[in-house]
Amino acid sequence: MTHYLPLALSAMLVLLVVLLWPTGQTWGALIALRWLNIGLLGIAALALMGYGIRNLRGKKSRRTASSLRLKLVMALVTMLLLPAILLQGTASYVVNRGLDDWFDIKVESLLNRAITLGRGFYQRIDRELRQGLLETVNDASLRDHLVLSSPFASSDLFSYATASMQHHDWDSMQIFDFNEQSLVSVARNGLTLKADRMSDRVRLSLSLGKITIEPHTEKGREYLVGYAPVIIHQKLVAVVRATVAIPDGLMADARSVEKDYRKYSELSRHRDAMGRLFVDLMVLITLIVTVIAAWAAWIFARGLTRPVEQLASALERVSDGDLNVSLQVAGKDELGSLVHSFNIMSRKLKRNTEAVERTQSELRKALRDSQQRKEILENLLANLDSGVLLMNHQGEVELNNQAFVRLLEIPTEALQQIDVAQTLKTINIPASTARVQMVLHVIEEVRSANGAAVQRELDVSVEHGVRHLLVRGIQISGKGSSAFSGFLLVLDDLTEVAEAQRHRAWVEVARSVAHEIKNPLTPIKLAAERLQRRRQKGKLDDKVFEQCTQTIITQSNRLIRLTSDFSTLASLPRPRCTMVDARSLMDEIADLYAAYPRVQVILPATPYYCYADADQIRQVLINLMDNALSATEEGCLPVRLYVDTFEHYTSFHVEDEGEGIQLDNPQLVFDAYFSTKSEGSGLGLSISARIAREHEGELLLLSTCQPTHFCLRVPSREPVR
Amino acid sequence: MQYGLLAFLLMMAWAGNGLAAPRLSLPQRASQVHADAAITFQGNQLVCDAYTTAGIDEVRALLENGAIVSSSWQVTIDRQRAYWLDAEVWSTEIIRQVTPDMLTGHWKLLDVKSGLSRTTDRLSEAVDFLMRMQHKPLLPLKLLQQIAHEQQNRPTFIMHIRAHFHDGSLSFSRWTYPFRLGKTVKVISFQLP
Repeated sequence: MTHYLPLALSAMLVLLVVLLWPTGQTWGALIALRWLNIGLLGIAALALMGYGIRNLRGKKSRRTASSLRLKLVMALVTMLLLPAILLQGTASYVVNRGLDDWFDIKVESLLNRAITLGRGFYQRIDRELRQGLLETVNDASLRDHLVLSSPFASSDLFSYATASMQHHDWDSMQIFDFNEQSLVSVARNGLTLKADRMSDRVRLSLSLGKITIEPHTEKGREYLVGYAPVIIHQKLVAVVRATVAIPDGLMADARSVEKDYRKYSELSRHRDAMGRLFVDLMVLITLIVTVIAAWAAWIFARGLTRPVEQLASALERVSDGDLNVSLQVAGKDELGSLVHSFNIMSRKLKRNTEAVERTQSELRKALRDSQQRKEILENLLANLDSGVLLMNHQGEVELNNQAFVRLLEIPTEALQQIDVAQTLKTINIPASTARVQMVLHVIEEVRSANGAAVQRELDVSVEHGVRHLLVRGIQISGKGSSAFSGFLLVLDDLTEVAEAQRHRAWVEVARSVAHEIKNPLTPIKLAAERLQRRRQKGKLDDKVFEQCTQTIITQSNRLIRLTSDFSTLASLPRPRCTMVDARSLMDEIADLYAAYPRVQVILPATPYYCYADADQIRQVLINLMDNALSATEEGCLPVRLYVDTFEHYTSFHVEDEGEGIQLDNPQLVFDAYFSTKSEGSGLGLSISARIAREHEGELLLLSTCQPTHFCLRVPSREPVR
Repeated sequence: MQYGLLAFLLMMAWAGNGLAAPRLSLPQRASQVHADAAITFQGNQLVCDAYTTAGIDEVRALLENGAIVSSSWQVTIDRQRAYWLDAEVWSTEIIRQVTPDMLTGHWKLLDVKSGLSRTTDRLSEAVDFLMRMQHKPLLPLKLLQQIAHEQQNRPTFIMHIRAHFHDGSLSFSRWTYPFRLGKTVKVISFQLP
């Protein structure tokens, strides 16, 4: 609405111009004043119109301070204009009413009567003067005197003039001849006797024989001067000039009345002009005052809004990103405080922005480094033969490399869209999903391991065979809100390694078997050759025969046992674990070795349970008891078998007091084909240790001698998977 | 309050007297023959005769009512130029004033510049004094001859005669001159004999 105010004011001024437009053909200062007003109003209207149009054009881009300044100026001008217009209207009404009242009084008729009275007085003097002159020029004594006497003998004429002057109560009297030469002059009270030259009109009147009376003023006093011709025989002989002074008091009053009358008439004639003059003067004064007030308001508003404008401009610059803005604090008022606060804000903003920019730069650098590291990592992962899978707690795949999908032979999309819970539950699934399922089972184990690393070897059936994979999983627990938490799986293809190991194992086994077989064969061969030589020589006696056949039988039994152990090692089935009462196992062992008095089986007072395959545990215990009995002799300290439990394991202990194991590395006893006995196959402890591992337990050598102490640890309950 | 109003009215009257100047209407066209002018060369003088009858009734009425009436006759002589504005070579203003004497019934006829005055008891003479310029010697021909002598060819002079009538007194004041606009009575083109 404020934007249209200049245009509205401009329209109002144009209307005022139309109202003030002069009509008629009056010229002069008054009309000049009117045109001055019209000019000023027109200029003001044009200025306001231009300002209003400019405001409307720049409405969108106008600054705040400009609008505020406009409002202030308009408010001040309007506050001035409204009372001024009201005052002018009231004053115009009062003046017009006063003029009406003033000229309504019948002053003019009174003055007119006064003038008429004065004029009547004048006319009476004029008439008396005219009458006196007429009497004088017709006076016979004067005429005789003028005809008979010489002009230069004028004593009689002087006496006559004096008498006549006194008779007619004139103030002076002069008699001229026809050449206007003075014949006699008489006067009262120092009145000058020097007469002016007669005017043409007087001469004309005199030539026509008429009496002429003219007003005359001398030294501020008015006179009536009358001229009368003395005509004798149709001939102008002389001219009588008489002067009558108008009484001072009466004359002053009469002239005053005349002056007033003239002034009043002038006023009356200019009555309308006065009204217009008043209106124009008031308009002019109002205009001047308004212009001055608008100018003052503009100065005031500019002073008031300049800080606001500067502030708005500075804010605009700040919003455009220019933070090097600092305004000069103009004063200690509220605006000054505002500017001061702005400066502080600007400085803080600049500091903060610089800090943000620094941080941003550092972050950018870190991001570059991170991206570089990521690229390195991605390259590393891409070129890594091991499959890597990173999965979050929600079961969503965060990262995997090509080796992972290559090893499992699954499509990448399937891996990204995998639903862990659903996959784990599903039974009838495609082969690729089954492979994933196997891997996911490891993740479940990792989840259950409470931060411990899990390592499994899996045989995964792929399209062209079976792939032996080593799966290692660990749980990643990041600290902080942005840290990653999840599971990391690393798959290593051990197919070739396992093949190589298997091949090496077979080579080793073949070599060992060959060696083991070769060892008994040599005594068999030697015994057979001895029998053959003896037979050929005929020296085969019973003793030799008995020794050789006994050697052959013994070595053959050894070969049979050796092949039996190999068979056991090769065909060792996976344990079928159940909850087994350790005490019943101990009872069976006690019954089995009841023939050996040095065997001491210490049964537990309370039942102990373990999660194991009873047959395989029994086999391990028999192996350990056999080793202990073979290492001791009759009469030695007993071989002890006892059981205890610790944490989640049930432990079977076998102790003997034999010579013990005299080895630098006692753990070699668990290797295959290692034996300290001359007749042993070296596979017993190896098989026992394998059985213990497959029970998720362990076979430990706690002491190598005095006593030689073996401990078999198996889980006391079913492990949680 | 009354004295204040009276003072204000007197001030307005003064202002009206000094500022308001109703112009007596003159004929719009010369063909209406309400105004005419002529020049003659008498001896070594340029003599002008001019009159206007326009507004004569208003002038007569003002004089009868005792108002002071003034007339301003403005005469300018320009040298005509072919390509430029005419150059003013001479100008004068003749201000006449008639003051009625309401007591004696006479009118005082005053030539403001010379200060010469006379009285008359005939209204027609007073009106004629204001509205007619009779056998008025304006300037010596020598002045124009000198200007003509300075020119190569025989110059043409343009005389503008304007008349302005005023209700009240007039003076030669510089301040009031712009308001004595006048109305052209006649434009006379002449060459020196």
